[in-house]
Amino acid sequence: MGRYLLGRLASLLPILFGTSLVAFLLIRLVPGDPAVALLGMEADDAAIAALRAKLALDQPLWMQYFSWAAALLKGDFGRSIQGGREVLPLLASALGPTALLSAAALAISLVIAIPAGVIAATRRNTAADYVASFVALCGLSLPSFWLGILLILTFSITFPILPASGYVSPLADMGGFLRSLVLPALTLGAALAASTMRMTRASMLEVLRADYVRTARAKGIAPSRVIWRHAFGNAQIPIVTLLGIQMGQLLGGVVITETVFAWPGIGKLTVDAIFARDYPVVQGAVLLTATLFVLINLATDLIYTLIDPRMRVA
Amino acid sequence: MLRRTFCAGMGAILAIGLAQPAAAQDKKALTVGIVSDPVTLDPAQMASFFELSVQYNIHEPLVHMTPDLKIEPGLASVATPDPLTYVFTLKPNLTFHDGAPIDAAAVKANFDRMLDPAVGSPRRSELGPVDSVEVTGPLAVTIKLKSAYAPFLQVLANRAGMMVSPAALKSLGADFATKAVGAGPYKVVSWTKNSELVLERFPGYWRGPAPIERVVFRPMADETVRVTNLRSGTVQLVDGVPAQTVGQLTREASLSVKQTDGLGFNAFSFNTTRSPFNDVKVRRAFAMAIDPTAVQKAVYFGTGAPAYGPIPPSIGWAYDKSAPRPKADPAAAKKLLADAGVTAPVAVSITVTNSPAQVRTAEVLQALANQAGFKVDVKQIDATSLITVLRQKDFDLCMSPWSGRSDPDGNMFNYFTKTGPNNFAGYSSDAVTDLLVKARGVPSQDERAKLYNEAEKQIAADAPMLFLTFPATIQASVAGLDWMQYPDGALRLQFAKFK
Repeated sequence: MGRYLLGRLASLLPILFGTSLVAFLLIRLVPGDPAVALLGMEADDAAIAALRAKLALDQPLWMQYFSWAAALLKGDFGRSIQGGREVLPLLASALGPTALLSAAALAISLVIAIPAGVIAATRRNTAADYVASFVALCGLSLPSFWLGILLILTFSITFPILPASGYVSPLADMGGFLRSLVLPALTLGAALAASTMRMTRASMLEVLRADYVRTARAKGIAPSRVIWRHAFGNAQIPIVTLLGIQMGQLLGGVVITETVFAWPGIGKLTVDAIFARDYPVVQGAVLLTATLFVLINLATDLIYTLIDPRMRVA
Repeated sequence: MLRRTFCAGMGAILAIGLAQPAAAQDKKALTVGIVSDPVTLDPAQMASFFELSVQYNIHEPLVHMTPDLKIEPGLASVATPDPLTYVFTLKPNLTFHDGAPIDAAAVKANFDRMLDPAVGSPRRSELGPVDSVEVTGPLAVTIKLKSAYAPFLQVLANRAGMMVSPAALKSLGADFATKAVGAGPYKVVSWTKNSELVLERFPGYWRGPAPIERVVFRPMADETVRVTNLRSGTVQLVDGVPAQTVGQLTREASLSVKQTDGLGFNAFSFNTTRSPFNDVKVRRAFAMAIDPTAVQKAVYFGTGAPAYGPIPPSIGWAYDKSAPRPKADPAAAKKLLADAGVTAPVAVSITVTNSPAQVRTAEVLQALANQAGFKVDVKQIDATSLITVLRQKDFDLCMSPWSGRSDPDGNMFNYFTKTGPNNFAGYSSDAVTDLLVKARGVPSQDERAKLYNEAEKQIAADAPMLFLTFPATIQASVAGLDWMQYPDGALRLQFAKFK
């Protein structure tokens, strides 16, 4: 097991190298220049040239890459061109809110999707199935900016019980944090629940047709035990796979939900940095997101082994 | 089991929500919804429009500009014994937020820094006419100019006049941009990117401590989100209120909407360096096809004013009320195109950023110009590419809006002089350049107004730019907040208090 983990972690290195190269080159392919973006309309050519020299943008690309990569190896992600903040703390401070929001949204989506999916599968082609499938379709089709604004109008204006936006650190004020979390987590959770519900339904339908389920039923085991323990227990693998993918995507940032709720997450940070051609921030964000994605995939694989002993490696 | 725990958890969250109404009004704290996070809090490095809402709360300029654009003493009073000499006398016993004294040496250190080419400050070009900055007493600084520069004090009432603590510059280094130590009514407590900028009032502010103790700026990029947050009471003041919501918000008794003429203009630059707009007749034909009031109505919902030149009505002493305001005349435009010897339809492209207002503007222009013998194609680009496109003159007609300055020089010199950095049109008129240079050197406001109006006439005849509207500054607050609106749209919260 230890060797397996080490091997998987070692495979991170080529991935990170490739990602760093792609991140570095992609943002430079986009037309526009960080110095021009920073100095704005009034800047004269001399000021732009001076800033380009200061940021080492006048050097050949390979030299820029190597000085960036060399600093990275020392743990130095550089400073943001826009505003001069250090990149690593900046990313870390944005990743926290995104991670908390993602976890809450996933939790909400599971609470909705698993029961709905199981019910839809066990009562296939009945009214319950149609209702659950219809609601899931709605969740998928509602754009989050629309649902978000609707929730704000309802819970912040008509019934003013929750803040319309903002993020409160859980370390500073747990109650305030939970209150600020509810609406964005619901908005995001609704969209996620839809696909998880569909996946749960499909996976359950397949398992429910299996021989051992029929055997369990024939033995007279209580229906709820058959469904939850025998069937659902074996239907989890594709759901976990989907959750892993969802979590990876969420940690890359949920720009629209973050924008609607003024949630200071990594999605908005990255998009702003792309628009401002803030190379160090974009590169750092892509690298960080890629690392997280790989780690989450690894975690997903480890969870498989908990669910299904056959998948354990020596 | 898991499910039951979770349901209980959700119940608890809702209970907390119900126990604390969200909109409890604290009279000592103000939360402001702004359009975007500032880029930097260092006035020497500010280059974006987005610092405008926060800059005057943290920083104090040497002289102050009133809402009707008059200059008053600020940190210093000023005497001008001759047009080339400005003597600033600082108020005694003032300090920066860190307790360091605001004395003549500190002021000189600030100017030296802004003028140092190695610092790369955008202020350097604004302070271009400065010849020398000398300490002439413990609280006296004398600035000599190379040539007379009438807008100088207006420039010093803005970013170039904002004094920061030289000691803090040294000790904070690169972190000064996020921690800024100035002399304004509020000092920085913390700044979390994209989340909140927290300020606390500065007891040593020269006007005395501000009535509101704590101010939090929260960036909200989406205009609907800003307005919704104001209506919910989550924020009590918002910048950048969308024109289409003014009517609805005005009817809400709990809110107060304020609008005033802004300082800037919405305009497009013709590329005068390449066909077809290198021909003045083609440019004028295009301008003839356009009715600015159509854009004002369709895009800005009747707010602001139609524009026929670069000087807005808010600069009353220089605004030319008698300038002609031609209506759209597609027939005359077609005739002019025929005179120019070009075959209609003339294919041209309009370049705009992909914001809803700009795209709508382009569509209005497209519809009107197509009736007058043009065949318009709309190109959308992102906001960052805009500056590159303009500078490389890679366009036929491209939006080039300007946030505006309180002196007409700031709306004209850089746009219409032959080597001006904002002369994206490639406009090359000796007459206009001479008039604008001359207007800088004349002390009398009446004389200057005449020169600017003469330049405006020539610009209207040569049509290097297509002027559309003067946008209004529109902001809104909860009705219980008493605050002052300025044409530049900057918030100066030392004058705000809860009723």
